[in-house]
Amino acid sequence: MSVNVFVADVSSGYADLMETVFTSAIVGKAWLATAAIVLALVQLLSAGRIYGKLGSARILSSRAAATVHRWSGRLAFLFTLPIVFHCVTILGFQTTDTRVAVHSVIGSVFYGAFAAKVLFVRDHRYPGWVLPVAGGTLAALLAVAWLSSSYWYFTEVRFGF
Amino acid sequence: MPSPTSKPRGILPAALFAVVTAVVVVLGIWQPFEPGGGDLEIAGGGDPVRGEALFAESCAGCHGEGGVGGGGGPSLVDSPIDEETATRTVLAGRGTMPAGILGGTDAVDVGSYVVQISGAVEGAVPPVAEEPPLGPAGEVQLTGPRLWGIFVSLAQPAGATWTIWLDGGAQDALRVGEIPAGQTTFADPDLGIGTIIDQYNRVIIGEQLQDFALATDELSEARITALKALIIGEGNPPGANSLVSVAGEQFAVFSDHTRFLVEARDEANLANIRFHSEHLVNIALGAPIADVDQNGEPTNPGDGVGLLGQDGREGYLPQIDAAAGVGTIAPLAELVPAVEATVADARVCGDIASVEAAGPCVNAIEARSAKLDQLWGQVPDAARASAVLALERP
Repeated sequence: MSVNVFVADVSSGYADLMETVFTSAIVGKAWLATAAIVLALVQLLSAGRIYGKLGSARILSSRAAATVHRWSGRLAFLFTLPIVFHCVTILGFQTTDTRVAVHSVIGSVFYGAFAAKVLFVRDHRYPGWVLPVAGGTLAALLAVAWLSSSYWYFTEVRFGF
Repeated sequence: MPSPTSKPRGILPAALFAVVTAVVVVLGIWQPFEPGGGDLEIAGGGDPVRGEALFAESCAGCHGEGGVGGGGGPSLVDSPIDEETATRTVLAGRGTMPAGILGGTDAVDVGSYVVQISGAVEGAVPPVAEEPPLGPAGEVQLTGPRLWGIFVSLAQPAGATWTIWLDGGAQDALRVGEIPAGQTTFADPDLGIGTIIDQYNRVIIGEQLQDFALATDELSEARITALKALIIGEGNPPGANSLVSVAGEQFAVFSDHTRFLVEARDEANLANIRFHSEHLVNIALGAPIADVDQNGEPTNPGDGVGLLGQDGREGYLPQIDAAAGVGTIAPLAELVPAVEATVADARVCGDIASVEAAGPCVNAIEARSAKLDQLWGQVPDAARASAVLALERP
């Protein structure tokens, strides 16, 4: 069997890279997604602080919360890049069962929602409620994507590195 | 940066969302880096030797060493499959098998190896594992006077962290604990659920998920009934009227009358020698009781069931043997003939004409009594030890 050398090299190189840290690429993907979901939680909390919705539970100043929010967002985005490479370009859009179909749909719209949210961050002419709604929607999409993949993998297949 | 005074264009976010989503969907359908995708072409094969090593590392946990199954996933041996399908399955997953466990040439090599072991290639000989497949076959002992605990013993060390479940059919499986990789045993003297066989009849050892058993065994309803009768009994307090408990009471009465017989000999009391000899016979054999001493009144201080039984009616010892599994309780093999020998001697003593003549039969009963007590003392533990499940690969 001959396989397109470039394709094989790229996907194999990706798998090798993941396997320098994890036992397999899929395990690495599950943990990166978990890191992203934790950072999404940080995003929600820091956004709550920025909007003054945390009441007396204020650990950070509003300025520090903004810094935390920006960097946790950048890191979370970074963590999702290997995932999207694996999911989209290697595994592809699948509908073999409900879980996989839900994950495929949510995963597909996630980056669209992310792009729109970034636009709302950069363009201050939109109504004040738009940005938190966009951020919340993005966090919810990530949560569903994580539940239908990493959580499923950890609870139904294998929990470990 | 847009001017803060100008109005935002409502269509822009929607358009951005639509374009980015469309790009992702197109990429997802195209799958440009799927090694087993459109560029796949059957022309010889991957490297099955490398595939074997990768398989052992990434696939054997579910499909077993050499793909023989037993780890939750199906056996791949003797299930002919072509190389493209095998490689695509490694890449894209199938059923509960997740996609992307391996990628690139790794998947191709594993696919090639799977074809070999599947028997699809004429003349291909499945690689023979150098060592026997590692499996958790072993046994699970239900422990304690009322079978509240378990002791799991594997024949070989766990290949990974293996989890132990109890399953009762009518309710959710109960996760009991784990056997760490490299270990062979797990013990919990009290699971906190009372008598285990009141709720659960199956033990499953698996990796993460009880639906994929590495080893399992199940007690039949008849076996549970027998174990309950043998060890637990019915009613309150539990165990008070189990076969082991009730037989123990009768055995104590038997031992008492052995002692009374020896005392009668020492006191040179012929009537009592005959009388207690009759009791020994009737305690051992049960109903119908015999008038061994021929005083016109057959008597029996026991409950009438007898240790041995007679005329086709099972006494306690045969009942215990049957409930535990014939031959399972080793001490019974010596105990039953010893009781029979005492009965034979007691028949002689029960109809003896003089104290002097009773000497040999009483002496023989006395000499045997310590051994009888010792053997009976081993029976309750051996009976509880019969509450065991033999783990096997499903």
